[in-house]
Formats: sequence, C-alpha cells, structure tokens
Amino acid sequence: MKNTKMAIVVGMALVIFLAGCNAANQGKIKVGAILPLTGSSSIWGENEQKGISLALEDLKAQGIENVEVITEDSQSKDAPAVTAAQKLISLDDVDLIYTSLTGPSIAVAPVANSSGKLHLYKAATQVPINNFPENSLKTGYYNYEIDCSVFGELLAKNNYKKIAYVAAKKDFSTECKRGIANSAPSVAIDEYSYEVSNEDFMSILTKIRESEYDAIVITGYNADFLKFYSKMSQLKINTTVLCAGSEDCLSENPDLMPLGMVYFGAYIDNNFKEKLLAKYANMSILEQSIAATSYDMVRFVSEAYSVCPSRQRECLKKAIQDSKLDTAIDSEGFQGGSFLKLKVRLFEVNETKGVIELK
Amino acid sequence: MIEAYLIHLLILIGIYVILAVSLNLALGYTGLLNLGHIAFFGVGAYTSALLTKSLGVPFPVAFIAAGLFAGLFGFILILATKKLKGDYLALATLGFSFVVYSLLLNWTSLTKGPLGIPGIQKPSFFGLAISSNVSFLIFVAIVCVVSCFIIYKIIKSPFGRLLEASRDDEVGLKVLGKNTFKLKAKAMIVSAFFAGIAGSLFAHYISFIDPSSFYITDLILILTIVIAGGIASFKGSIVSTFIIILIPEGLRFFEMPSSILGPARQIIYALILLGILMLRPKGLFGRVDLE
Repeated sequence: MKNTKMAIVVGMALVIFLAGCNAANQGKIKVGAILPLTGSSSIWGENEQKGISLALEDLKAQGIENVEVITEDSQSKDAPAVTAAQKLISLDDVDLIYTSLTGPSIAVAPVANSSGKLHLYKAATQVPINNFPENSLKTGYYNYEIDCSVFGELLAKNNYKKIAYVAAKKDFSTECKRGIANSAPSVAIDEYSYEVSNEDFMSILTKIRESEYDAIVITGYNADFLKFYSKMSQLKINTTVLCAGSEDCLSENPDLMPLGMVYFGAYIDNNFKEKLLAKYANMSILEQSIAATSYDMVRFVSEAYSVCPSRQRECLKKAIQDSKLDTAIDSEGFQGGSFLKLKVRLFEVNETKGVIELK
Repeated sequence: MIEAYLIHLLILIGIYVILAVSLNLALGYTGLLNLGHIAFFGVGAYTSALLTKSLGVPFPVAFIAAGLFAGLFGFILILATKKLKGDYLALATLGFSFVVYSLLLNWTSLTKGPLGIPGIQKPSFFGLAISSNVSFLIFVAIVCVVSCFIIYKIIKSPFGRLLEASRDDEVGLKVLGKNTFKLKAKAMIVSAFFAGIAGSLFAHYISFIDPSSFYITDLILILTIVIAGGIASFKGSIVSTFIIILIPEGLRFFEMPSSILGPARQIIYALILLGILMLRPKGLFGRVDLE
C-alpha cells in the first residue's frame, strides 16, 4: 500500500515536471547547436558559445525569449557530431540543427535532411550546400573560393606573374586556390603544402627564396602563420604575403607581422564588440569574429521564428534568406541565396605597423 | 523518437565491436602489439567508398574488397615487421598508421585529401537498398554476429590455441617445429580483414569520410575498448564496447553549464575509465597482462 502511494506521488510529480517542461518550452524554437567544444578546434566552440549566450541575453533584454539553444559537443570530429545530431533530433526534438566546422557539417547534413530539420552551419567550404541545397544555409564565416578570388584580382591588377601558394593540408586551401586560379588565370601558382601545426617552414621558405616569386599566398591557422612570419624575417624574405586566414592572420604583437602583408576580413559591429568585451574580456579579433557569427545565427533564428510560428522548415529557411538583419559581422545578408554574404575587405599591415583597410 | 538515437548508437556499437574483437585477435590472442589497426579501418573505409562512388562498383563487391584490401595491408605490415617484437613492433605499427594517414591526406587525386569523400551511398544488395537506419542496424548486426562468430571459432580452434601459445612462449613453439611467423601473419591478415569490413560499414553509414576519422586519437578509442574489456577476452571486448560507447552518451544527460559542458564530460569520462582500470588492472574480463 505504501509502495502504491509512493508510486502515485512519484508519477504525479513526474507528470507535473513534464508538464512544467513543456510549459517552459512553449513559444520557443529549439536550436540544437553542435559545437567543437573539445578537440583540435575547441577555440571555435568556446567562442561560439560566448556569441550564443550574448545573443540570448540581448534578446531577453529586448523582451524576446523565443529561442532555446541546446548545445552538444562534436569533439571537432565527424562521427561524434552525427551522434550529437541524432540525440538532439530524437530526444530534444530540436527544430533546427546548427553545426560548426566543415567535416562535422558535411557529416550531419544527411541526418538533418532526412529528419526534415533545417541545417544551419558554419564552414569554410560549400560542400554541404552542394549535397543538400534545399536544406542547408551557411549562416556565417568566410567562403574561401569567393574571398580568395579578391586576392586573385589583386594579383592580376599588380601584374604578378608567379606566386608561391603555401597551403595547409585542409579543405579550404583547395577552395582558395580555385578562387585565385579563376580570378587570375594568367598567374602561375607553385604549391607548397604543409601539415598544420607540424611544419617549421624552413625548407619551404628556402625554396621560395630561390625561386623569386612576386607574392606568397598562405593558408592555415594562427600558430602556423606566426611561425611562417618569424622564419620569413629570419631568412630576410621581403616578398609580399597575402594571408588567406582572415583575422587568424593577425598577431597580438604587430612587429611579428610582415610589412605589407595583406589579408581579407570583415568588420565587426562596434556595438556588438563593446557588449562582448564587457562580458568576456581580452578576446582577440579572431575570437570576436567567431562569436559574432553564432550571435548572428541566434538572431536570425529568433527573427525567422517570429515570422514562422509554425516552425516549418521551408518557411524558416525563406525567412532567414530574406532577412534584413543588421548582422554583428558586416554582411549583405543572404540575398535569397544559400549563404550569408560577408562584406569582405582587404586589409594591409602598413609601415607604422598598423592594420589599415586597403582601398 | 528515442529509437532513432538508440538505433544510431547500436549501429556504432556494432561497428566498434567488430573493430575491437578483431584487434583483440592480433593484440590479445596473438600478442602482436599492433597499433596499425586504425589504418586498416581507414583503408577499408576508403576502398569501399572509392569503389562504389568513383567506379560504380556494387556494394557487396566493394564491401568484400574493403576487407581484402585491408587484409593485404595487414600482410604487408606483418612482412615489414617480421623481425620486430614488443615495443619495437608497437612503434613500427604506429608508424604504419601515420603512413596510411599521410597517404589518405596527401594522395589528393585519389582520396581528395582533406576535403574527404562526401555523399557515400547507403549500401544496396542486388537492387535492395539499405536506406533506413533500422535496416542498416539489421545489416550491421548480421555482419557483426558473423564476424564475431568467425573470430570466436578461430580463437577456440587448435589454430587459436597455437596463437596463444606463440604469444606466451614463442621459442617453445618454434622448438616444436611450428612456423610462428606464419601463425602471426594469418592472425594479422584476419584481424585487418575485419577492420576493413568495419571501415566499409562506417563509411557507408556516416556517408562522409576524411582522414581525420582515422587518426591516432581514434586508435586510442579502440585500444581503450580492448584494454578495458581485458586483453585476450572475447566477451570483454564486446561488453567493453557497450560501456565505452555508452558512457559519454550517458553523460549527455547530466545538466551542466554550457561553458564547461564539453571539457567536463571528457574529464568525467576519463575518470570513469581510470576507475575501471584501477579496480580491475587486467580489464573487466582480462586473463593476461599486456607486455
């Protein structure tokens, strides 16, 4: 008898708890964010978290509490990202999936598609779009093929004939090279590939010095760039460097960057920057830029949900594509397309070691 | 809806059971400190993906070819490391894993390098597509049971006892006139064959592979399964696969602030594994020490 009473009490508590959960979630759209919180790309996940928290706080301050973000760790890998997606879709019943990094985004794309969930992602490549154009939207980050074509235009304009292409063995390097080759077909490209975090650049730069190139284009990550700059200065190589790594190209110590180095990047909204730095001090430009993209993602979703309370995939997608949102990272919106078009500009490290926009 | 998540986990468990049991055949039963297993897994995945996607080869052929090709790599590896033992063999086979990883990363004309191979089709047998996860689970379960059955039969056969004898007293076996290299080579080939089969299943299930899925960190996962289950324990490898795959999933249900969620789960996971090994140094069902 005692056990029966206990079971009834527990059962009722459970019903109340579940009802409470439902009530709390009513009127909210659920985003399942699969971020690289651990593993080789954890810097991205950490800062995306910050952007998401700030966006939710900002929306709350405006009296909008229509987005719930459930975060899972992809461990910067493909298979764990798929497992996380299955959990978010099956158990958390999320309305949308958001992934970061190319590999996890490609791996999760078919799962999101087959379950009818809109897939928002952040990656340097367009591969998920090509596979599932009807279900994927790239809500942030650079598009290396398009953005590197700006480098190509610069090379063609300066009549450069031969360049060294120092490429990290990563997906975005292939796309960047394609962008340069398409926009500057007359420029000869000699490729020197290297493994990320595992190259001292001495032999590559020695070969480059012997071949007398008009410019060097490099792709990769911050630690590689810094090593590259340091070895360039050691070997006294003054060839112009075009760095295809956006804000990752920068060093906190301007003296470490080669004079005249050019990189592409997008402005970050000052208002957003102030709020972000007030909450999280000492964030580099790269970290701010990462946070900005996830901040924008949450706001895109919030806006789309207010337009599409039915949470229907096509409606949400169209609402995001047609959005005129003033993004934290300078952009022209989706313009009806499948990715957020960042307003990419060229920046140069000038003589006074400051970074200025290259007009 | 929870079924979809559970089905996904069971599929992964099926694939990892094949990997763990096959590694245990070489590592536990034969005493080969083989750290090249992840390379066989990768070779199988890429063989199957490339054959079906680039050459249009039917899945059953690609599936078998994945195993055979991985088996061939196993033979090459054991041939190259014929004179090595213990730590030296471990280092050489680890080097082999790096070589295969480098090949997958750098042979871009074949493997597409870091871009990986997206859009790998779901398997189909004579026009019958295994498109849903339920049917894939059934397929994986069949392959897993058949693989385990074959490996179990090998272990329990006179040949299996010879493998264990070569692990425990190679010189003694040689004195009895047995060709221990031949024994080891057979064990390695069979082990690599099943790793290749598992690779094929993985590629066609996830539908996207890139070299990062076949790196040293993934080898550690398989080794953890085998060591936690117990060296030379068939049952241990199977039970341990369930535990090692399901623990991190269980941790997903502990509410944690999102800012510490990822690292905190990893730390708890590591502590649980350490706890298992401290309580049972030979693994859950281990019989022999890893020397």
